[in-house]
Amino acid sequence: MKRTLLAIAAALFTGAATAAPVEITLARFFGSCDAEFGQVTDPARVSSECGIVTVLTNKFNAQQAGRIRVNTQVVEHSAYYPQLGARIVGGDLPTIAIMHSSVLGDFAKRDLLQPLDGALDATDFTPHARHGVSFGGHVLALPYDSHAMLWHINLGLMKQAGLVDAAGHARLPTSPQALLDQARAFKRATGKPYFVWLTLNDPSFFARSVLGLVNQQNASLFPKTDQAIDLGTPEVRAAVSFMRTVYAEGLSTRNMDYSAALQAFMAGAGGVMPNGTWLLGQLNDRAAQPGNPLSRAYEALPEPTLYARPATWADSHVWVMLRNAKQTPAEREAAHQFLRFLNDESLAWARTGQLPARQSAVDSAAFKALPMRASLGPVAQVGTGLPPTVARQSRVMGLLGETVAAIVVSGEPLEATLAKGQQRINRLLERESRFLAR
Amino acid sequence: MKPSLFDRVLIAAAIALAILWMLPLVWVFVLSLKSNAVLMERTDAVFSTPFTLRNYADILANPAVFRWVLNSCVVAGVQTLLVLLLSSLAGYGFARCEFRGKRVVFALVLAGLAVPEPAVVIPLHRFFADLGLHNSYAGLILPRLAAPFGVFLMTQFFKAIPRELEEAALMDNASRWTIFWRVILPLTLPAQATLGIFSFLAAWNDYLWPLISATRPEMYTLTLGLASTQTNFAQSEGLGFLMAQAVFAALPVLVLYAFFQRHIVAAVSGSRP
Repeated sequence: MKRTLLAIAAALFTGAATAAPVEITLARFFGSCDAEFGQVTDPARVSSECGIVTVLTNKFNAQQAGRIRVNTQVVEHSAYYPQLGARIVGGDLPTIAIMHSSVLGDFAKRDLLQPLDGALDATDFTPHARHGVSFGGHVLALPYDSHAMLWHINLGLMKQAGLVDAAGHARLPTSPQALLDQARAFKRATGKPYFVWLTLNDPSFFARSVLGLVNQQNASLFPKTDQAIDLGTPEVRAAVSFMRTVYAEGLSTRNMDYSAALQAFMAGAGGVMPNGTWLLGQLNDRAAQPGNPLSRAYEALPEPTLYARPATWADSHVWVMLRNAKQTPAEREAAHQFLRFLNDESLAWARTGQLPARQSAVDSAAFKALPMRASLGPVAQVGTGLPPTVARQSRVMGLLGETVAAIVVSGEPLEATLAKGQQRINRLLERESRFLAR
Repeated sequence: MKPSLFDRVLIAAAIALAILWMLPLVWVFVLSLKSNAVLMERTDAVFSTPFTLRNYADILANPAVFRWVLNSCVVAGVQTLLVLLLSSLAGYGFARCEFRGKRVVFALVLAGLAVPEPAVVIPLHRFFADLGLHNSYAGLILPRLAAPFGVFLMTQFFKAIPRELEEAALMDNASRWTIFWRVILPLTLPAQATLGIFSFLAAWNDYLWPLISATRPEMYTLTLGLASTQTNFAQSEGLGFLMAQAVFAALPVLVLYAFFQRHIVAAVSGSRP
């Protein structure tokens, strides 16, 4: 009897020890840095997007050794969505995938996403994050961050122009006219343009700027329905005219793409570079080094409120689970565990420069202790995008940006160009609507 | 004999054009020898020291990269051989054999030249998904074997070979296969070399199909694998690494060119090596 029991125990033990872990796949961009961080499990040792997401995956795999294994499938950023689309069509689905909240609607309308209501506690999500992942009363994704436009400021030049307050912070304008006055004074004092703008090959810069300025006027680019953009409103005309004036008066740099603008800002070519939260880490590092134009003379602030209410463009990285008939309950539960783990590590991801998607993380002392973050908390409250139900948002923003760039940079007539842009965008949305109706 | 003034001007112009053509390549190579941090601040830092091999070391530090090189070699090599074989057989058939509907079939093959890849990529992807061939060498190679340009090129080349050669072989009781393999095919070496170069380069640089067919990192080809390691803002924060990747991906092709330079030049000029 004793021998039999021992044999059963041994068999059970052997069985448990050799049971293969549940394997799930994680499709994402952000690059691959296994060579550098493949063995690291402490997120405090890294600060890049690629590094932190790699280390967090390592940490989860280490914690769940023998039970769950997350296998990462990395795809280049620009090719990510075409590949994901093909994988959905071909039925080769990753268990978890990263997305931007701005494209979530396209997948939600096609009923491709698993609701995560029971798996996650959404009460702690920031307003912007919750808004971005909620469709039809369901939470369809785990929001991972909010990334928004900020003003990256060269305090040395601002001081030279007399545009800093007693505490040494930049004095931000509170109306379009105040901004123009500041920019003119800045140019007179420093001989340099106030803004470092991304005017080449980056239509998203113009689209994001206009979206923020329009929403600040208590208006929307989609005032009546999510099926049709309206670029003929006084608010849109005011925003675009304002940007055109800045450019025409030489108050911004010219002919610069993303890389050139970043180089120019770091070289002290202008006072303010409107760009994303994702640059915080790099520019902080630059400011910490001696002997360059940003040395101890850099700060980042939320975009100023020039009209009635604060609003700034923001998007989110979100994690989704695609509907998959072949998925086992064990895989689903393993994926939920990994998502909860990522949610718990929200603060670690914030070290990349992105803003946490959890309000408790935004309010935490640990977050505020990170460089510049104390003043950036409000961005999580006022971040705004297109209405979530607007289809093909990436393309819509691209077309909007091209339209605005044509007016601001190329000097095309305002009314006619806006009308043409509106026509192009609405034609796209009509096609999409017809496709979904089939 | 001393070259004339006109010849000297021509040579000088050729050298100037060659330098102009080389400049972007040199620029890419020099950028690959600078650190990312330096290039993020100033691209003109390429004109001064220090230089570094760190970007290349970073590429090689990823153990997966050797698997990606192997995958690319297998895919590009096998694909090139099969395209040569199939295009030669089809070209010979269209040039020399008479069968019902030949003109229609040939026209259909040529029509393939006019079909853009994105138009067929989704049906093709579904087809291969149904066959369960994604994430395999077969899945990467098979869709590229339909090569209308290759068939057209070889057909034209076979047509230019005098029929008398075949007739002489027929009189010696040679079979159709023997005539193709022993008599005609050796005469097509320049065309084979040209088609081989195009096929190999197309397979080596292919991105779209591997992107959607190979979703597991162990089946990535080199172009896909290297691209996957790029961060979201590589053009500004990882420029040196990006350029090192370009050089690294081009190296095998350059080595291949060095080995087969004589044959390639002969193929392009239409002469014998």
